[in-house]
Amino acid sequence: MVDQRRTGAGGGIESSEVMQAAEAAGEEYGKVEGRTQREIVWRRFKRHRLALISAFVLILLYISAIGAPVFAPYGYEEQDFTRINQPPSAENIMGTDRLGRDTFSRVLYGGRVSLMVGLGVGVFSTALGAGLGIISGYYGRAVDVGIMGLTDFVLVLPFLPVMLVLGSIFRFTPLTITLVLIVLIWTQIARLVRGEVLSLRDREFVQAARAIGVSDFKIMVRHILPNVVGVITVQATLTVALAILLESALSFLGLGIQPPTPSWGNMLTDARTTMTQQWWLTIFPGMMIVITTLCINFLGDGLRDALDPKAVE
Amino acid sequence: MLAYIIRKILFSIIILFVASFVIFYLVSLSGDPLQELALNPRVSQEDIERLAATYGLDQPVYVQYGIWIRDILLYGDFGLSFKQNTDVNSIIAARIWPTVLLMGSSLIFTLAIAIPFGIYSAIKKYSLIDNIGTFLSFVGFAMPVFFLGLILQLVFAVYLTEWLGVRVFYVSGMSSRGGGVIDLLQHLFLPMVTLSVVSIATFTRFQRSAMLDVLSAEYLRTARAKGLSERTVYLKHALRNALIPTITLIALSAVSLIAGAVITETVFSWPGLGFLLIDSLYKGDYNVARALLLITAVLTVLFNLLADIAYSIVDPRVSYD
Amino acid sequence: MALLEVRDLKTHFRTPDGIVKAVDGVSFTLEAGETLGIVGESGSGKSVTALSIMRLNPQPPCYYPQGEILFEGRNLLEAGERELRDIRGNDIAMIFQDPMTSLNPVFTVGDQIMEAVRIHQKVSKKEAKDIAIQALRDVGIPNPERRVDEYPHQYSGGMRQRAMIAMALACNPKILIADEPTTALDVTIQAQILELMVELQEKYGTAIIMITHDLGVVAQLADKIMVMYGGRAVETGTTDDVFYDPLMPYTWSLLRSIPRLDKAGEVRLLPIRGQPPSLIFLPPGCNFNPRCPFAKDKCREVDPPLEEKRPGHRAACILSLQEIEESKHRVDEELGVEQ
Repeated sequence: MVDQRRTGAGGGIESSEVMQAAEAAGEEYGKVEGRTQREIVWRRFKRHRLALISAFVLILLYISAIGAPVFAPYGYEEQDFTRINQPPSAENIMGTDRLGRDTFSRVLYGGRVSLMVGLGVGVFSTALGAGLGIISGYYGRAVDVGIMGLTDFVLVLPFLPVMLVLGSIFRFTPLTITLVLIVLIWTQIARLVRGEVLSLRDREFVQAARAIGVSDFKIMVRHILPNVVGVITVQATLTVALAILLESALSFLGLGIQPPTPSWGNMLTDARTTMTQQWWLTIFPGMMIVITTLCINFLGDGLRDALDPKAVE
Repeated sequence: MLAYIIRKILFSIIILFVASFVIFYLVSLSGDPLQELALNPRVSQEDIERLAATYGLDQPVYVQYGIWIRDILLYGDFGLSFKQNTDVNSIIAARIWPTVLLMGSSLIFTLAIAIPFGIYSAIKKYSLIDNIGTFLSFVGFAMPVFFLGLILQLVFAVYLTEWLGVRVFYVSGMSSRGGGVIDLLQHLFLPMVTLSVVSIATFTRFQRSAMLDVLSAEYLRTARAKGLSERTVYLKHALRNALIPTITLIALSAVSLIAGAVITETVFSWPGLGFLLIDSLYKGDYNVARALLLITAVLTVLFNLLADIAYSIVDPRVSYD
Repeated sequence: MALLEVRDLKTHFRTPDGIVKAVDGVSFTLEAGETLGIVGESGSGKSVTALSIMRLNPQPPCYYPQGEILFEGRNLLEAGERELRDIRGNDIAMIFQDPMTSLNPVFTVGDQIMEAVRIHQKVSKKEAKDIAIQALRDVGIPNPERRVDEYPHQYSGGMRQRAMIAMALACNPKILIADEPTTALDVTIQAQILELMVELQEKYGTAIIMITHDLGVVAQLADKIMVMYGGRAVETGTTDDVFYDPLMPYTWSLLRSIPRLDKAGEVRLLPIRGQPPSLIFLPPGCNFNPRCPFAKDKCREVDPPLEEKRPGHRAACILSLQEIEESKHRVDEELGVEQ
C-alpha cells in the first residue's frame, strides 16, 4: 500500500556511481567484491533516512519508558495541590492536571503501558500468526482448511466492538489487553505467510531437503522461515503500531486501561472535559501516540525497502 | 461463479451464527437482568415473572439465545431494553439516520479527495505534491481518530470561534433547535473530516500504487498508438483498470469505518449507533448492546462478502471454478 | 517523395546515470507498399526508432536533439500533439511484441477496435462494429460476430496478436510498424502470423516496418533491411544483399552465430564475444570494434560512417571492401566453412 522507493534526493545518483565503479573494478580484476546479505540489508536501510531517524527515536522512547521510574521527576500518582492546572513551565515541562500531577511523568509512565502492549502484541501475535501460517501453508489439505477457517472467522469479527464488550465485562490490565489483542490480530500475518509458504513449499530446495530425510519441523524452521522473514518483520512493525492505536482508542473510550494507571489513551479521556482551558493535557499524550506510530510506520517502510529480495542492489 | 458466491454466503451465515452466540454469551456475562429488574421499584413482581417467561431469563444462556435469535429471524424483533423500558427496535431506529449520514458523507468525502489525488500523485510521481502527499498520508495513518477529533474541536470550534467571534462549526450533537440544512452541515463537517482522515490516507496511497501499476502497462502504449489523447488514455484506459482494486477496498474499508464511527460519534456526541453502543455498554443496557453488536457483525461479514463479489464483477479476468 | 523518410534521427534519454543515446543518427526511407526489416540485438535502438516515428517515447526523459522524420513530407518531430494523434492509428499503426499485455483487459476486443475506428472516422457505433467484425474476419478470427464481444482473456495468444493486427489495420493505415510481433508466440503460430501479414499487405498495399532480432523473420518478409547496432544503422541494403553478402562484420557475425538448416553439422558456430555497448559510454572508434573478429588498430580510432560499398548496399566499416572480403574468408577457413 505504501510506496517503497523513496530514497533521499540524489541517493539514486550516488548509488549508481558506486555501482559503476564496482562494475568497472569487477571487470578489471575479474571478480566482484562479495557482500553478505546482512550488509546489503543494512546498506539499503541506511539509505532510508526517515527510517533511520525513526529507529533512533523509537529506541529513545523505549529507553525512557523502561526507565520511567528513573527519568520521571515525579510519581504518576503524586499530587501537588499547590500546583494544579499549571501550563508547561520549568518545573513541569508538560504542565500539571487538575490534581496537580506532573503531565511529563504521567506521559513517561503512560508510555510504558502503550509501548509495552504494542511490543508484546507485535512479537507474540506475529509469532502466532507466522507459526500458524507456515504450518497451514506447509501441510496444506485438512490442516490448511482448519487453520484458514479459523483465520477467516477471527478476521471477520468486528475488532473494536469485540474489544468493547470484553472491556465492559472485565477490567483490562496491560497484560490482559495484550493477550486479547494477540488473539485478535494474528490473522492478517497468518494469511500473508501462508500465501508465501504455498509458493515455497514445492520449490526444489524444499523437495531436496525432504528427499534427504530432513524432518518437517526442521524444513519449516531452517528452509522456509528464512524465506518469509522479510514479510514477517515488516508486518510485525505494522502490528505494533496497530496495537498501540487500538489500546489507546479503547482506553480513551474508558474500556481499556483503567485509571489511576496512566496510559496515553486514558490521559486523553481525562483531558477532554477541560481541553479548552488546559490544552497541554490533550496535546502531549496525543502527540506521543502520533510520534510513536509515525516512527513505527517509517521504520516498517524502511525495512520493507531493505528486506525486499526483488529490489536491485 | 454462482457456486462460488453461494459457498461464500453459506460460510458467512455459519460465521454469523457462531458470532451471534459469542456476542450474546459475552454480554450476558456482564450482569443479570433479573436481579436488576428486582431492584427497579417501578417494575412489579408480575411483570418480572412475565418477562422471565417470555425471554427465558431464568433459563440457561443457550435457551435465552434461542429465544433471542428466533425473535430476530422470525419477527425482526431485537427484544426489550430493560433499562429504558421500551423496545430495542425503536431505540435503534431513531439512531440509524445520523450514522448513515455520517458514514455516507465521510465515504463520499474520502473518495472525492483520495481518488483524484492518488491518480495525480501517480502521474506526477516524485513531484513536490506527491512527496508532500506521501508524508501526509503517513501522518494520517499514525493519527488516532479520537486525538484528531479533539484537535479539530480545539482548533476549528474553539480557537476559530474566538478569533472570528462567530460560531462556524459545532463540536457536539447533530443540530441546533430549529436549525436547517446549513446548521446540519455545520455540525456534520468536523466529525465527517475526523472520520475521513485515515481512509483518505489509505485510499490515496492505494489509488496511487494501483495507478502506478497500470501506468506502466503496455495496453496504454497501444491506446496511444491508436491516436487517443493523453486524457482519454488516463481517464478511460488507465482509470478503469486502476479503480478495480479500489472498489474492493471500499467494501473492506467499510469495516474500519464502523470502528472509526464508534469513536468519532463518541468524541462529537453524534447521536448515532456508535455513540449508542458505547452508551449501552456503560449502562449495561444488554439487549441494545447485543443488537448493535450483531448489526456490526452482520455488516462486517456483509462488506467482506461484497468485496469478493464486487471484485468478480468489475474484473472480467477473475473466474471461479 | 518517399512515403516515410527518416533523416539523421537522434533519440536520446536523460537518466540519472547520464544521457542514453538510444538512437544516434539513423536514416532510411520507406516507399508505399514496401517492407523494411530493422534487425538488431535488444538495446540496439530498433524499438526506440519505431516509437520515435510514432512519437510514443515518453518525453521526458526522451528528447530529439537532431533529425527529421518526414511522413508524406511533414516533419513528425515538429508536429503538434493534435496532428500526431490524427496520424497515429490512422496513417501509421503499430503492433507490439506481447499481445497478452498489449490489449486492455477490461474492454472487449470489439470495443478496442471500434475505439480506433471511431477516433479517426465519422461513423456510428453500429457501423464501427461492422468494421470491427470485418477486420476480425480479415485476420482469420473464426465466428467474428460472436468473438467481437469477448474480452482479450478469452482469446488465445495467437488470436490476440491477430486481434492486434485487426485493430491496427481497421483504419487502413499507410504504414504498419510491427515491433517483434511474433517473438512472444509459439513457432507454429509465428509462421501463421507472418503469413497473415504478407497476405494483408498484398490485399491493402500497406507499407510495413518489421522490427525483429530474428533474421529468419525478415528474410521471409522484407524487401530491404537495416541492421542496427549501438543506436546506429550499420548496414543497409536489399534483403538478398544483406543476407548473402553481408559487408558489416557485425551482420556477418550475426549470420555466423545462428545455425543454418541447409548447412547443419558442417560448420562451427561463431558466437559474438562480449556484450552490446553501453549507450552512455560508447567505445572509442567503431562501436563494434571490441567484439569485432576483423578489428584492426584503426578501428579504435575512426568512427566509420555508413558508406556505399556496392551500389545500393551500405555498411559502416572503415575496412575496404577488399579487406572485408579477405577477413571473411580467413575466419571462415578457421571455422571450416566451404566457400
